[in-house]
Amino acid sequence: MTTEVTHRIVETNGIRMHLAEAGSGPLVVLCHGFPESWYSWRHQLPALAEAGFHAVAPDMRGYGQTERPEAIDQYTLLHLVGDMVSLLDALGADQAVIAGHDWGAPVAWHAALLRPDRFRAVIGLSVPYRPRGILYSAAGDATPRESSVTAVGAVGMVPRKGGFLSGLEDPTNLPSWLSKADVAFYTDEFARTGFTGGLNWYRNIDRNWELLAPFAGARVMVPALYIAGDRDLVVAFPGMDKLIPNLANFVPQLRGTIMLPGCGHWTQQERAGEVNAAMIDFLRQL
Amino acid sequence: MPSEVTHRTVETNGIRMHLAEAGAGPLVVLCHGCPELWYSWRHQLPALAAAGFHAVAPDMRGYGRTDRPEAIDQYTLFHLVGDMVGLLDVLDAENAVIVGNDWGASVAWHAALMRPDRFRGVIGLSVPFRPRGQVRPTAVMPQTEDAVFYQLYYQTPGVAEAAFEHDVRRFIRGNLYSISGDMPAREARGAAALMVPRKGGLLARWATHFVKPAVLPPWVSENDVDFCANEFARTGFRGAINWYRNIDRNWELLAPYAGARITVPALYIAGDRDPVVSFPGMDRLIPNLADFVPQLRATIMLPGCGHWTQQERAAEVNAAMIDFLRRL
Repeated sequence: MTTEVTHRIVETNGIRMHLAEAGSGPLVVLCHGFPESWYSWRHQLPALAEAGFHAVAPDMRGYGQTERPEAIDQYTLLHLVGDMVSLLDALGADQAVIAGHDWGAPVAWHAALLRPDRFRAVIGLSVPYRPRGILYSAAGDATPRESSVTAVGAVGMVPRKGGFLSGLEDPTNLPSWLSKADVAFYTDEFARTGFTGGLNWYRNIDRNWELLAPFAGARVMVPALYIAGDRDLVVAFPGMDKLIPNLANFVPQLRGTIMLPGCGHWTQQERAGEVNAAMIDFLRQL
Repeated sequence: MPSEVTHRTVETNGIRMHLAEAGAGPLVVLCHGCPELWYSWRHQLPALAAAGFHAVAPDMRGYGRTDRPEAIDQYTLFHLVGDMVGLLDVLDAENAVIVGNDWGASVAWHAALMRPDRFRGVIGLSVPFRPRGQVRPTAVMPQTEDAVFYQLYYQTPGVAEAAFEHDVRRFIRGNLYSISGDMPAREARGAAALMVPRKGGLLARWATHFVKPAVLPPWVSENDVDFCANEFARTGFRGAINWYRNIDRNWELLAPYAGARITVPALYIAGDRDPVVSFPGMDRLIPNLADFVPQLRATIMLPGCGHWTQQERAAEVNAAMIDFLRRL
């Protein structure tokens, strides 16, 4: 059993996609989020391989050494889920378990929603399955603009004056789970590719909402696991306080919701040991 | 049991949709094709009602008294299936059997593909379920130096509209006749009838492209033609033709469904003189439809019937539909 991470390029859904992979056995596909890389799964690839799985972490559409189509409308959830279905075909796999973090989590949840015959289970990190709302998501899903959650300084809010960078901290010391070499890897990748591909995912939020009309009220029917940090800004998004405790209403085979105390947004990087253990336990019980 | 057809307008998936309906009981949704209206189901509504079903035939998105969004990208299969899911919600129906003819069949098959929990059975008329191909559909549509497949001709906004709107009544009447089973074989041009000359398009070839029958066949009356002609004279054809302008976009968006099969019970009915059954590839697809629709209960080929399946052969189609519905 090899736990060494190897790399290759495959053709999937009309684009060339770069994969990092390790191990052999039942397939587990790992979908990273924004602004990340296959590299966000560096601790999971050897651990899953060791546990007897074939772990595959692509650079998702628009990222890293994977292609970055020009047009914004090439980044809908249907394109992203299409990439994952086609990835299974390219790997000769009938089925896989799909895991995703941040934006990769909606890809994973929707892959399981649309193709339960190909994705036999799903693990979402940070972002839970969100059933299609009745309003455009960018409209804030009915949250009044005056409410405290939309005040400057509140979760996810960017000041109109000064933009994103004005609110970003530049830490003197990195936390123990992140090394200078890790930062250098991401920096080199994004310095080369830019951020347009990753940002284009957000530019399809309303288009996704429109295109997902057939799935209004639909539930994710395969076995599922949800893991998030209790200090992750995502779990403080408007509506999450009502959604997360009731996730099983929309994901009836939800096997567990694991809230990691003190953990922030980078779930599988911040708490590699705990996330690996929870993933492997879930995978073995399928 | 009332078998009278009544009308109302509902809100579904962000548009106002006009419905014709009859009866009470398990819901059956009837999706018309191009260029048609709820009216294409006029013989099915009372028959299904009498058989104990709640039959609902909308004017589909872009048609008749239903809204016609401006933008072309508002007519993808995801919008159209979304309309039908929204319709079930409005009608407070947990599930329905969905039926479609022509383009409506594609909506019905994909509704069953995407939401087997809401669509417990599917009946396709004329157009079978077509699994997603390897390449962009317009890239492999027939074209020669002189002519292009009609679906390619439809791609440029405004062109086909101008041809059809030039004389709406004559277009409707000629089109109903030209691809029906009543078009005499010696006049029918088979696959060639589906090719549009590059020079001048349909507008320049009115006289030869659309046959002008002296007398209509018995299944369609001048009154029926009037009804459709009046509707399209009012609405134009842009909404209808916009469906074709999403063929490549649909293909792209359906990537998640590559290789997917329809798993609910299904029935396929077509006329053996329907030009659709002689489209490229259909000779291999139709006999093997059960590979992609494993619960296909039957394929019924109606001898001598053309494209307007449920209008040309109302009684046979009604009987086959009701038999299928009762066994679900």
